[in-house]
Amino acid sequence: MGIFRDMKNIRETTAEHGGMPSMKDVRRDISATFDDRGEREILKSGIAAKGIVRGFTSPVPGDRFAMQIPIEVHPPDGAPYTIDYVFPTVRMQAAIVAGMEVPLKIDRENPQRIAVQWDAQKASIAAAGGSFAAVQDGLAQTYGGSANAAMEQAMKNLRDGTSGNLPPMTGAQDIQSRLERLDSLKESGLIDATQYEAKKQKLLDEL
Amino acid sequence: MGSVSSSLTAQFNEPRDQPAAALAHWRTNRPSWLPSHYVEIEDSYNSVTWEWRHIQPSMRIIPFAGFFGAATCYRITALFESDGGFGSHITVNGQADEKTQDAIRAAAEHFVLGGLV
Repeated sequence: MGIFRDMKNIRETTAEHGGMPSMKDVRRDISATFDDRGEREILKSGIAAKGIVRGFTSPVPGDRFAMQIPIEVHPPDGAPYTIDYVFPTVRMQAAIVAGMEVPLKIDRENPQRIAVQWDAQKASIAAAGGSFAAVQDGLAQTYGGSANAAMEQAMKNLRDGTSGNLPPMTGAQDIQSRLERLDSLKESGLIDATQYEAKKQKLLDEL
Repeated sequence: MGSVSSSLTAQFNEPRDQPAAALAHWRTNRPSWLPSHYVEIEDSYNSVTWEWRHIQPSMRIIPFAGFFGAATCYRITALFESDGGFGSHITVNGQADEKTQDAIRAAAEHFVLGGLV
């Protein structure tokens, strides 16, 4: 009964997506799927450069056939700059996450337009020991570097009591915040009056 | 296409050339294991890619066979990275026909300092 199951799946899946598309919609979707957005031309005649991924892929609102990701572009001449790279989803052939170095080409006319070289990216991932290792390396570059350093500094500030953002709590402040939390629990009905009084007395005894 | 996987990854070392020099060298003097029907289609700051679009002889009688997906597209990319010293570490990755795969593996196994490219 494969054909009946397939038809049922088609009907239910298309219903989830707003109904069966018209032939015109189908043709438009096929066209959008294979629209390379000029990337082939950039790959052919663009300037070879290095990019560093500064975030994660996310959908482009209102466009089902494209993804976006922030990339810091390092042209051979000139200062680095960051762009939100929007690319056709169908061209994505390999992992790309924060911290990864990616080979790309820059449009000679408009440096804001780039194209990732996916074959070279695949080779780069193979050289790193596979997708998992490459993703880990990339994340370590991001969170093992700047973010970890920031976290360590914040923890040091907390210990030293020098941070303006997160001052260490004194005993009285801590109890005050716990009493406030207790009040809100009582108001929201999560604890009854007896539980509230018992816990409140316990906290006050700690002062 | 047969059941044998066309994907491969092979490693080479080029101890005498930095990555940029080794890349330039491989582009001008193609590796001996690379058949002439593989044509260079792309280069990046640290890599070069060759491609061969192969149509089975039996499919060649069909008009527009390549256009309708009868062609097998093989792509091999060579990536050049520093070996941490004065040379380069080269990773060859992609899809190749069986004969070329064998040639690449044999070359990688017998790769000697400064030779076989």
